[in-house]
Amino acid sequence: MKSESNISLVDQKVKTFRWLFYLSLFQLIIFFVVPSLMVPLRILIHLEILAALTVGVLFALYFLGVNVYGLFVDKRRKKLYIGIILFLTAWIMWAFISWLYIEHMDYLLR
Amino acid sequence: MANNDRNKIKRNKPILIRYPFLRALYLFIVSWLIMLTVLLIIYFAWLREWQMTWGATSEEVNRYMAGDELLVEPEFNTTRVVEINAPPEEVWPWLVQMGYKRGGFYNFDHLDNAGIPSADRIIPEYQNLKVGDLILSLLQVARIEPKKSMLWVFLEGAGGWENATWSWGLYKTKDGNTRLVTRLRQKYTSNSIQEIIMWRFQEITEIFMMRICLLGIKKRVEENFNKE
Repeated sequence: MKSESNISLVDQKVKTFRWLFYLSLFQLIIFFVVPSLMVPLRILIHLEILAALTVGVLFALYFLGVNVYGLFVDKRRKKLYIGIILFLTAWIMWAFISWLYIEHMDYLLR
Repeated sequence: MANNDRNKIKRNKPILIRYPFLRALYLFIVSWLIMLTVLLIIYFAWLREWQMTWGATSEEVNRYMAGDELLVEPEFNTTRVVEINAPPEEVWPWLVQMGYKRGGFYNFDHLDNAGIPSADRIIPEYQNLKVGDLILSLLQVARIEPKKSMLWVFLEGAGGWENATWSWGLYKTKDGNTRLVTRLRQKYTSNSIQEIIMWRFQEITEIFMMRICLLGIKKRVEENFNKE
């Protein structure tokens, strides 16, 4: 009886975490999808890059935190979270380096 | 334990524990609130001062610049500086050719110059800038002192930017280099909560564009100066 209730508690924690994961993923996707409905295609890619380098970093940091939390809570999907963490770390590093050397990032300024 | 008792206990649990989605939503909102609060504290304690005076010394921040007298105690008052390894006369041509569908703003061209690449050479036809010329629709040259300073003011119809001035100054250092100073000042209109939020958002993001612009000028001047 005791172990059964422990399992159900862990299951509930995992379920809660997964919802948190989906909510965070959803907000990240929405952040990039909304501009595509508002601006012409001609400037969309530039706006998306700018978004990824500015406010997007905030969402990336948030999602990174969620995935790090996931490593401890939802061990069955550890590999997925590690992959996402690596991707988000690369994204944040790219933004950081871009801002440090922005005057040399011609591909951003065109 | 009888099934009835178990169900009773389950029903008595708080709603957030019973429904994982609601609990996740609660965690999502609370964690965002905590993160935003922490970021706002960091911003007002340290980042705001840094971004408002990026690259400037306290002397440069307190020094008079053209147009300072036009706005009394503006809420948004920035002085940003970049040092360029070239004398002011080499920097000036790059400044006067700035503008929409002119030399550009040395920035994200797709956002502020209709996708036309900012100039990477001095353009002779844009060198005769004078008072009254438009830099951007509703942004006009108000004062100009060749090779020293320039003031741009926003015109009526520029929305919340009507109460704003944008000043440029070139100062020669002892080494013969240039301190390029730009001062953007704005008195916020606060007619609605949306406007107040918008100005705060703009305040946080504007540094990105200004920094790229200043570094873009530095890069172009130094590359061309070194070629000569």
